[in-house]
Amino acid sequence: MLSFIIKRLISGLTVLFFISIITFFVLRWMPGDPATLSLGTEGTPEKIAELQEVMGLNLPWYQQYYHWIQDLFSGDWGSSYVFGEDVMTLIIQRLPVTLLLAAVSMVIVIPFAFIIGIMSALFKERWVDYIARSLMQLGDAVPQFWLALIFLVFFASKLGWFPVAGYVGFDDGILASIHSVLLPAIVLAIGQVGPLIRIIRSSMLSSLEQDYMLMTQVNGLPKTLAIVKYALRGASIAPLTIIGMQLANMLAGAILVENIFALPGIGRLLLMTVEQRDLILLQGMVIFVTSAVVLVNILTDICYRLANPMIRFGGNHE
Amino acid sequence: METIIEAEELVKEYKIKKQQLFNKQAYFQAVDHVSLQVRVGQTVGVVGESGSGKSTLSELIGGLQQPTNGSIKYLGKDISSFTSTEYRHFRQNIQFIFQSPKDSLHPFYTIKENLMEPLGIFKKHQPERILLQEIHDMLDQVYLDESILNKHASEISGGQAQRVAIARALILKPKLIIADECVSALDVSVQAQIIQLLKELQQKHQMSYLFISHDISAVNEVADYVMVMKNGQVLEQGMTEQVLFQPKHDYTKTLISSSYLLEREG
Amino acid sequence: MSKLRQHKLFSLGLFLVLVVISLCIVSFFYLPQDPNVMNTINRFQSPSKEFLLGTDQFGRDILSRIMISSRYALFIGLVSVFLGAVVGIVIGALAATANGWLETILMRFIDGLMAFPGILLAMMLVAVLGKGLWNAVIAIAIFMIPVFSRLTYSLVLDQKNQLYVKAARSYGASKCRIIFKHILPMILPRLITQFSASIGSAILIESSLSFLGLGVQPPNASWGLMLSESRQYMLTYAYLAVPPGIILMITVLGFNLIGDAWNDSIVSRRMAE
Repeated sequence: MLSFIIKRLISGLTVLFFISIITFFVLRWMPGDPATLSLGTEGTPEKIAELQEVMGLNLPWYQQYYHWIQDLFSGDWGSSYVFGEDVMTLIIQRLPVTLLLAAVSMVIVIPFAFIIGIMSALFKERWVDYIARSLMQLGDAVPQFWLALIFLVFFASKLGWFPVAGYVGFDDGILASIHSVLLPAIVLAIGQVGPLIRIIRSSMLSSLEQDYMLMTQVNGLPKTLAIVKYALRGASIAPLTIIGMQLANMLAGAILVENIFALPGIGRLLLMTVEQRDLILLQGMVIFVTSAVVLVNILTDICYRLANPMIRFGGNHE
Repeated sequence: METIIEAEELVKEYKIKKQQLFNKQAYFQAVDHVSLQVRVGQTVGVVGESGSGKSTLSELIGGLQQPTNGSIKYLGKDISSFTSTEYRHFRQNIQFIFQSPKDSLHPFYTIKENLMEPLGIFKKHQPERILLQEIHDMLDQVYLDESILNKHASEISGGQAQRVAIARALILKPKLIIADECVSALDVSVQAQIIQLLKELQQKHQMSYLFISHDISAVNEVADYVMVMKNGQVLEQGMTEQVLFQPKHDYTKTLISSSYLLEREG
Repeated sequence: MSKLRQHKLFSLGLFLVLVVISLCIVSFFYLPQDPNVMNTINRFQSPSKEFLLGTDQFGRDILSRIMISSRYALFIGLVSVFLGAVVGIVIGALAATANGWLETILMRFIDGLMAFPGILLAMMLVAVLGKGLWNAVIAIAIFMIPVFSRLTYSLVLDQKNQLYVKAARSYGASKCRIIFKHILPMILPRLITQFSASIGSAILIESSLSFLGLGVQPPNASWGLMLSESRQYMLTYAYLAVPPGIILMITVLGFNLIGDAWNDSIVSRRMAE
């Protein structure tokens, strides 16, 4: 187990290294260098040259990269040109909104996906299954930002059940906060539901077919009890693996949804960053988001390994 | 007689996948210090059970795998020091026939396209008319009708497919053909025909064979010289009659007694 | 899954895609109204005989704009997936044939690309390259690389162990020849399936980027851009929100269904063998 964790950490670190390389090169070597951009219209050639010197842009790339990584590890993520604030501070300010949004939508999507996925596996090739699969297809095809607009028009504006826009901070009570992100969270949840149902359904199907289900039938356990006890446990493990992936999807969805519902989270900050071409802030956010995705993937892999007896004793499956 | 292939002290090791990250790396020796020679017109048989390392040995000799240790000389020159022209020459003159003929033909190509492949690599400057003529000649030699040319591997029988594979190996006029279990997947009656064909072609073209098989009676029919392999090592070798009828090693005796060779020879 | 159902889903997908393709083709010969002409008198017309789907905040005909947009959607979808697929297939095939360090580097690089949440990578590239159609194409193409690399990688690894490849090596076929002439034809069906399924998601990303103002730029039309432009008027004129979203969904659904049905038929054929 320990060797698995070490291996997984090493491969995760390599991925992070490549992410940092990709980010570094995309943001440094393409048109528009940070010095020119940060000075904007005030940029005279002398001033730009001076700033380039200060920012170390004249150094060879590997030295620049090395300094940059050093700064990242020491917590100095630079400061934004647009906001004039520390990148870390900006991210941490916005993080709770996005986390709350993601958490609420997870709370919505997981039970829903489990019920539909399990029903669809138990009644395979019957109408429940067909409906579930149609829902999956629709869920995959519906554009999230469009769904957000429709919900906004209908539930918030026409019916007035939710605020049209804006976020209520924790100071006004946690319930008010949740209420303010509920509608966007539902939209996000709909975007996640397709892949989750799919994996729950297929892992439920395979655990229903597995030997230990046969064993329970031989041992005379009633079928429903067996389903609940064994198959459910087996099936609940597999979705763990894609929760990391779901996190990536959810962050992507959050970019759209936060902008439509005017929620001051990471996604909204990101769009502003891109519109203003605030490269230092963008670089920090990209590293932050992708590292989060990679770390969550490592954690879920390890949990999966711990939780699943078959793989745990199986030796060298990767 | 001229020596085509001379292998000395061949070793092939595989890494065994580690169970634990910090375990010492373990190795498995598939071929363990094996030497052999193949001369012009000679047929060398290698017998042994599956897992004895004989297939690995054949792929080392044929240049499909690199040995961990040891040397292979083709016409007196070490193949690891080949220039690209020399390697091309080597590649043209050593051909393979594999166990499952149908799998060794490309499933999406017609028989004609399959036969055209080696010609396209080695004789691409010649006009297609001449190449087609060569293909037709070759079909005659392996007793196949030309109606087969537009079929796919899945549409012909195993025996036909093996004849196609032989034709493909032969079409480049090689000096040595490595036949790796080339009859084991076929019906017994077809086996005899293919062996007959191989012998006939050898007479006609003065080729050598490296004939790998677990089937002692097949080896007995074609080989002049026999090597018995177990666990990557050669236990016994010598002229066919000597090894198969006066075996020295107990393992060889067991192998022979488990085949029907003895019954047939009385 | 039953053959019949597979067939039905495929037909449905094909039908939806054909609807969009014909919309696109027709747009070159006939448009109900000029999609770009602004006319303040005609602002916010509800659907009528003259304007089948109504008009937007500038008085432009929504149906005509939807038809024009289909060109961009299909163009960006096809071109970006094609570019991404070509690069991805080359990287995947290279990684599968190269041994040792090159394989590791290539595949970790792909893992790295994969860790970028879909639209984030595209946004990062747009931030650097600037807004616009071609930059959106490049951004989406790069996003498509990892899927194709991984698929090609695993398919080629699988084929490499087949006997016909060993046979090809034995009669002197070069690595290049083996990859392109022998292995590629074998794995092409799976790649085409992935191609179709990816077009759906490429069109989704295009519309999302355009919606965020980072893709197709005004006065050109794109379904995402249309939704973004009329966003502030939707609370009053709800009909504005419907048509672009529906057509977008139809397009994506169509490509996804075709891809899924193909994939299922390949899988069931494999299992039958």
